[in-house]
Amino acid sequence: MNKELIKNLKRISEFEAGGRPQEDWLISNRDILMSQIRPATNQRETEHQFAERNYYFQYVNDIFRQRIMKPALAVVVLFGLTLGYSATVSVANSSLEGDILYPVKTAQERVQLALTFSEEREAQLHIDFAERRLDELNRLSQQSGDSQKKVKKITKTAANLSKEVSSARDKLNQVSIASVDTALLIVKEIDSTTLDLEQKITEVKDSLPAEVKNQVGDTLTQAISTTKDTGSSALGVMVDKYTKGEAGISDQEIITRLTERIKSAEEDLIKAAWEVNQAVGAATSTLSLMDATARASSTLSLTLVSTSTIENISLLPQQAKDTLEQAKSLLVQGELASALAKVVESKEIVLGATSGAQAIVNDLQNVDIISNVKGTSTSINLQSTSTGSTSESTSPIVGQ
Amino acid sequence: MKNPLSQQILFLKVKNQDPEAYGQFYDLYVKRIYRFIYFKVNSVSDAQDITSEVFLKLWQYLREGKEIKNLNAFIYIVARNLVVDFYRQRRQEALSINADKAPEIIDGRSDILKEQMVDSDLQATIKGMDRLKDEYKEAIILKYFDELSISEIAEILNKSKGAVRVLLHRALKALKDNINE
Repeated sequence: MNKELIKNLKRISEFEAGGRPQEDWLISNRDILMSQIRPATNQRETEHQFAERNYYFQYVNDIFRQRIMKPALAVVVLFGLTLGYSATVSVANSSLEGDILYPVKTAQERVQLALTFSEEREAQLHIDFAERRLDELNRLSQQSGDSQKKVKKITKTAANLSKEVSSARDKLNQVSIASVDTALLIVKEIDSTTLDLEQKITEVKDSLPAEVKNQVGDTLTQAISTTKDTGSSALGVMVDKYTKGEAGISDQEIITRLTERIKSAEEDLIKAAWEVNQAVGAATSTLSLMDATARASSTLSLTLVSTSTIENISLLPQQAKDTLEQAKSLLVQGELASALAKVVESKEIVLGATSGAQAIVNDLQNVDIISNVKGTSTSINLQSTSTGSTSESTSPIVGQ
Repeated sequence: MKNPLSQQILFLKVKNQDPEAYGQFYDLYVKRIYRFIYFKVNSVSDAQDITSEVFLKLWQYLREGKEIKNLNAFIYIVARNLVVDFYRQRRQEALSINADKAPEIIDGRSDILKEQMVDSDLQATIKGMDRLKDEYKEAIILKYFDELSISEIAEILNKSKGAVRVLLHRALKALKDNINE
């Protein structure tokens, strides 16, 4: 009875009625707190930077003082060894790709995975590790110095992030077969965490300087796409369980989660529509400035920027919007699985629109170069049309 | 933050009034402090207000250079004191939280319960917690939600370790009785 009761006590903390705070309040309250404490402490920053190196010493010193009364040499030696190991792992925890101790960090993660025997716990661990990769990405993006090294590190970290999220998705598929309560909690957490991850990877991507972004954009886009897929899979499992009438998911919760996904898709759509608008505008003005001779003598690249291609791409945001509207109607009608399918469909269209916009920008850059080489008067500065999206090398929309 | 060493290092940074470390400390503790307060005040907005105050108050203590031996326990002591202040202020405003009013507050939460939980065991557990004496609630939250040691709970509740063990035993029994009612 006691075991069951303690288990239930732990479970209720997952719910608002059981004392779980609202996520948006947690964030806004943190911001307020930090704004209240930072101004008073600016003058201490240098002191903190210096003190940073001494914390380990302070800690070791404290521990030493606590233990000095214990004379047994064996204990001291054992303690020293343990401390050495813990300190190494602790320092490794804050290391980044390319650091000497980074392999220690990843090795520790692999050991954790190897020692985990439940699928749901493994899925949870992969998501935790993905969050670590995101934290590393954030810190790497703020680093100064050799940009080529930075590109290399970011690319590798972003690829690892994708790998973790995709492993979580694979585990999720195995978890979904079972219908234990803990599995459901993990599925819910993956659904929430992936939404957060998507947004934060996008923020990292947008914060990068253009020269770095051009090189790592594809990998980051891939990471966002994998995260979206995983989130949709998690929500799919929940919708499935809800539809089957399994306990643990309320009407309100499933509707809230689907609404959040629709909201996220709408935000992506707004961004994609802006990118398409910019690319299409640039393409139209380039084509109008080029004279007939330049068009006729151009290579394949120029033919890609055809009127029909531009038209196809420019229609995509509206298509995505219509699909999202259908998703909303289906949600209102209680057709949850179909609503989710429409959200996924609209996300794919948005992804196509973003890729198409980038493909236009890339093709126009080629046109610009070709035109300049041939001595024509076309000189559109296409860099200014770059919207900060990634440099997709292929143009899947072209020719559709 | 499971590694004790990294946690101790963080605490040292916090004691040294490092704002960034304090941000990490907030991330580590905010959920449990909020929960601790929420079960005492039964209101989301009050729990949010008091939780914010706890972190600000603790920062003020640190800035004043007051000696804090065990940060892990001290933050709960700050939270406890602020909840006491909160009820004292309420009483002064003639809005006393007496036994007659309590069921109303619990009823206010029942809507959230209905919305969020299908599992009747969990609903019963929450209602059982609501009906517990304040000190029983505290003991259960600190031990079974936040997994604090008996020594830390003793420090927070200002009791001996033996008294805490007895308290926990009685608290669990009372909770079981409430659930089975």
